[in-house]
Parts: sequence; C-alpha cells; structure tokens
Amino acid sequence: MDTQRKKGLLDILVLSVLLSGPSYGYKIIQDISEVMEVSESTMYPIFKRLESSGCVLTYSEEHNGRKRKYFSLTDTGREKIDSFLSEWQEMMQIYDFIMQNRRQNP
Amino acid sequence: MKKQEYFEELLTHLPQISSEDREQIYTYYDELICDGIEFGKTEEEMLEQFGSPEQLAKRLQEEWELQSMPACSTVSAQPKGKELICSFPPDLKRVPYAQIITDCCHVRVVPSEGSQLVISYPKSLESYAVCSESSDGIFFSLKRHRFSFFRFGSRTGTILLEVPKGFLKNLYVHSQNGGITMEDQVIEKVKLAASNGRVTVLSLTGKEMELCSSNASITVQNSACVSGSIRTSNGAVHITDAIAKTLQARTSNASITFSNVKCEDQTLITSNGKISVTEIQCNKCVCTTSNGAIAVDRVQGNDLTFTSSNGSIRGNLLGRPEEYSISCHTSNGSCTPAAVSRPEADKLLSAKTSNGSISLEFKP
Repeated sequence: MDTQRKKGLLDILVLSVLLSGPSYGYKIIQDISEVMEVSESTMYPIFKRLESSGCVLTYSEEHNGRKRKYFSLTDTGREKIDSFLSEWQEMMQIYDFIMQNRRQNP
Repeated sequence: MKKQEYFEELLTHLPQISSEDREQIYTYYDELICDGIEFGKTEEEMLEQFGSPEQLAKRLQEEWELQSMPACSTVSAQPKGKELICSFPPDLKRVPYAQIITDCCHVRVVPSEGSQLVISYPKSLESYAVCSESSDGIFFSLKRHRFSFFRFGSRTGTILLEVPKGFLKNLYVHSQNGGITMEDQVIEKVKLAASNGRVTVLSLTGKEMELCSSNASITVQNSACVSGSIRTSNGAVHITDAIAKTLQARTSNASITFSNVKCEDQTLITSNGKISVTEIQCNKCVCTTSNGAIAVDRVQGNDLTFTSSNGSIRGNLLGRPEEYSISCHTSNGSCTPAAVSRPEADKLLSAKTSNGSISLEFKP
C-alpha cells in the first residue's frame, strides 16, 4: 500500500484498537499488525501526535516493578473514527461507481 | 549493542530535540523493549527490529516532517488554589502564537505585569485539559465534548489567559459554548470565535482582527486595527471608539451600531435589524439592511450608501449638500433630499428604500 495512505490509516487504527478500552504501546502495535505491517520503532510520533491533538489521554500504571504508559480514547478520538468512517462511506460509493464503469467497459 | 549504548547513539542523531522529548523517547522505547522481553523476545531481538540507531533517527525525523508537526511537548499544570496554571516564559525558539480551544468555558484574555504567559483553568476540569508547546507556539485545549448541545449556554468555568505586552503576535481563541472577553492587548493578529457566546474586545491594538459568533452579540470598544471583520448572526454588533482602515460588520436578525468610528472603508450588513451610525469619519460607508431602519448622525465621508427595504433612513450628515451627487429613492414614503446629479461633485450619497421614508439633512 502507498506509504502516504498507510500513514493516514495508522492513526485511525490505533484509535480503533482503543475502542475496547485503554491499552499500551506494545500491545497496540501487536493488535494493529494483524491487519497492517507496522514497524514498532516508528509508532512513537504517531502516539505522540494523537496525544497532543487530544485524541487520546495517557496515564502510567505500575507493572512488574516498572511504569507502563496506557492510552485511552477521548471523545475527540471517537469523533475522529466516526468522521473517518463517514468519509470512507463516500469513498465506497466512488469505488462502486468506478467498478461499475470498469465492468461495463471490459 | 546494549540498549543504553543504543539510545545514547540514537540521541546523538537527533540533536535538535528538547531534553523533555529525549526523555520521552527513551521511556517509550525502553517500555517497548521491556514488554517485548515479557512477550518472549530478547533485548537484542528488539533492538534489531528497530534498525540501527542512525536508521531509527532518520525514520523518526521523516515521520515528524511528514506530519509537519514539530516535536511537541506536553506542559504540565501546577495547582494554585482551586485553579491549575500553565506558565510559559518568553522563548526565542517558539513562534509567538497561542491557540486556546474550549467547548465549555468562558475565555478571558487580560494583560499581565509579569514576563510569563499564564493559562489558568478550574481544577475540576483537569481531566479534559491538554496543554502543549512546540516551536509553532502554545496550544491549550479544554473540551468536554459530551452532550454539548444540551449544555447550550451552561458553561462550567473560566479559562484565564494572562498575556504580557509583546509576548504574542498571533492569538486564536475558539469557545464553543462560552463567551470570550479581551482587555488591553497589543497583538498583531487576533481571531476570536465563540459560538453561542458573546465576544467583547476592550482596548485592542492590532493589525488583523477577526471576531465571530453566532447567536450572541459582539462588542468592540476603544480599539484600533488595520482590518477588522466582525460576523455573527442573531446577535447585535456594537463598535464604539474605533480606528481602522477597513471594517466589515455582518449579522442577521439583530442591530449594528457604530459610534465614533474613524475608518477608511466600512461595510455594515444585517437583515431584520436596525443600523445606527453616529460620529463617523470615513472615505466609504456602506450600510445595508432589509427590515430595519437606518439612523445616521454626524456622518461624513466621500462615498455613502444606505440601503434598506422596509425601513426608514433618517438623520444628518456633516457637510454641505452642494458637495454631493445625491441619489435618493423610496417607493412608499417621503424623500428628502431629492435626487440631484452633480457630475463635478467628488462626494456621493446614495439612500434607497422601498417602504419607508428618507429624511437626511446636512449640518455644516
């Protein structure tokens, strides 16, 4: 997939993982890599951006004698997922239109 | 390579980032390594996945640049009484820009005697606040989101922004369900947007001023700017004691009042509201309304246009009638002065309405 497109999707993928509850970096990356190949190392700017844009809130929790940073979804984040979905609704209509034309003119 | 060495090398490839960011990067990757080990990997395997420190630094840079987001650090707030405060010392590396966004608070911008810019907000809203700064400026957001429609008008506190003179060149405030007030500021570019809340500006000196609201009034007093744009709907606009090059005021279903305004070019547009212009010195003044009267008092200018549909146009202008080429017209009502075309005159007066009288006199 086009890297630029992939980058736009990563934010939403992270947010969607958090729909089921707060999670931490390593786990989020593992969940995402089920559908998209991601490099663990470059997720840092994405987490940070989601945090500074108010899409996620963070907190630390003690785990095995060390701190682990958890991310939880905010309403802004939730809105972002919804607007992504409605945008893709439109994209699907365009896809159908293109597909139809392609089929009619093989 | 051990992880300590790895990170030391990584950070040498990222010289421009702040010490806070360095710490955060270390914490983040250290946590990934620890979690990886817990999930059965070794430290070496994890580091290998990251690539060489140089490669990782390059990828981080690319990511930042692609997002055109400079390394942005979160600012933690300090408690002070019932408030939390974030303070910012003057910093040459930071663009003098501040952005305040809220959906539940009133925002007050006041002058400060100190050298720091200070943002204070109620402690009770702590969990909704995000404050950060980057080389692009200062960003503060306090949003509750939920049920904002039902909480219409029921704001829950005040965000106070204390600005030292000359600290900011550019300020943007957006308050969704609260008002915005600003006092005694010198800021080049100001945009204040409140929906469902009033906007009040007292003593602002700036270049560009943009004030927006919907469903509430906008008031400007004792201010000077190069260009001013004021837009609301269902709320009145009051401008008193102002100097500007261009001013545009627009509302619907409410009145517009300009009093003691010196402005080269001004446009006042409403529908279903009255327009009143008092003590105006201008080059060009255009007043347009549909279902409201236009009251004119001590106005002088080279190009005056008053247009209404179902309202009267009354009052007085400074000057002699001979100076003007006059075009006045109404369909149902009396009309003074009568239309006189004077091609040699360098001033223009146009007054037009349909269902109302026109009565404008000239005062020397």
